Amino acid sequence: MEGGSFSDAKEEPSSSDLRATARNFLEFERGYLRHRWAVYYALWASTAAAYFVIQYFLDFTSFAALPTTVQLVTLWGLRFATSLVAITVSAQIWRLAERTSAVRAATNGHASLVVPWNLIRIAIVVTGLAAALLISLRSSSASDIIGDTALLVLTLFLFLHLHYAFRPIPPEGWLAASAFIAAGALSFVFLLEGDPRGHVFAWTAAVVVWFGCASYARFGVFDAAEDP
Amino acid sequence: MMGEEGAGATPEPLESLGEQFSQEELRSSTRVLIMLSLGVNRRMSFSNLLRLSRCAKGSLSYHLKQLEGAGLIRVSTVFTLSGPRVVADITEKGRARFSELMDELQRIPTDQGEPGAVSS
Repeated sequence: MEGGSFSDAKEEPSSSDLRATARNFLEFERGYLRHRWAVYYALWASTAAAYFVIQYFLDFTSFAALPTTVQLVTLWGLRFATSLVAITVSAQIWRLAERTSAVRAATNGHASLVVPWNLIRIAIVVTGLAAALLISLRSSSASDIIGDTALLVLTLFLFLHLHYAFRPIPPEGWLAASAFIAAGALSFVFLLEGDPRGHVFAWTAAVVVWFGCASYARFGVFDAAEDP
Repeated sequence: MMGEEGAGATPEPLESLGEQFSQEELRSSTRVLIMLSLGVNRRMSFSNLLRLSRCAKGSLSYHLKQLEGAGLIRVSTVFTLSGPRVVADITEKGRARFSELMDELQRIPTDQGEPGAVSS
């Protein structure tokens, strides 16, 4: 890039120079975005673990001997905290994907991503209210079903963002989204059959895959240089 | 999605693009590249800007000074767990200039002879 075609020389810049520069940027951004996306995979893996996995394993520890109210407050506090962090960071990453998609669209003539932010806000509020109602009724399997549904909707958003930001979707993106869809579908079946172990197993597998995708995207794709 | 202008047009210098680049701060492909990156990412570390631009450190510092002098970016040192880092942030004025760059990019016919898609 150094000494590019319209670097400090007083020549008339051409439109193809700008497009070539934008393509150079998109080439770099693909690796950089995958690196940033690692945080997204790791946060949602943590959230899924907080909702579906941790409680099962805590039942084998002294945590199960604590009063039910303490257990509920601790678990839902953890779930609330991980969800809040995941949603906040996801919003930043989605906006980043949206802006990248806009540059890609302007450069290559693709359609760009338009995120339905109002719809997302409404979905978060409705899911939160439904979850609060179910917590108050102490209906754990129903709250699992709501969690499953929310995470499946999230996976659809994930596919959309991956598609528009990357074109084509990177391998870890396919793997992460497929793992969530498989876990969501399997856990629905296990919950309907009244098999909580299957439900936990399906989500544990998805969480492991997502942490694997996060590690690959973080360390295996973009070799971030140290600051001088 | 596509505008009515430019189907089958030959890519050539655009008048408005010429106006953009008549300003000294964007009379360089490296500085345009930095502006595109900061417009999208909002903040970039010096090391990642080096990777992006493939410049030497001195050359990148020069380009960053030009952009900072024009009020498009702000360069600062932040303290992280792995030590101090030099970062560049885009300013409000820089965001406005990024939007103008995006508008120009959309007006340029693509390889298929059509203007770029309209973004959100």
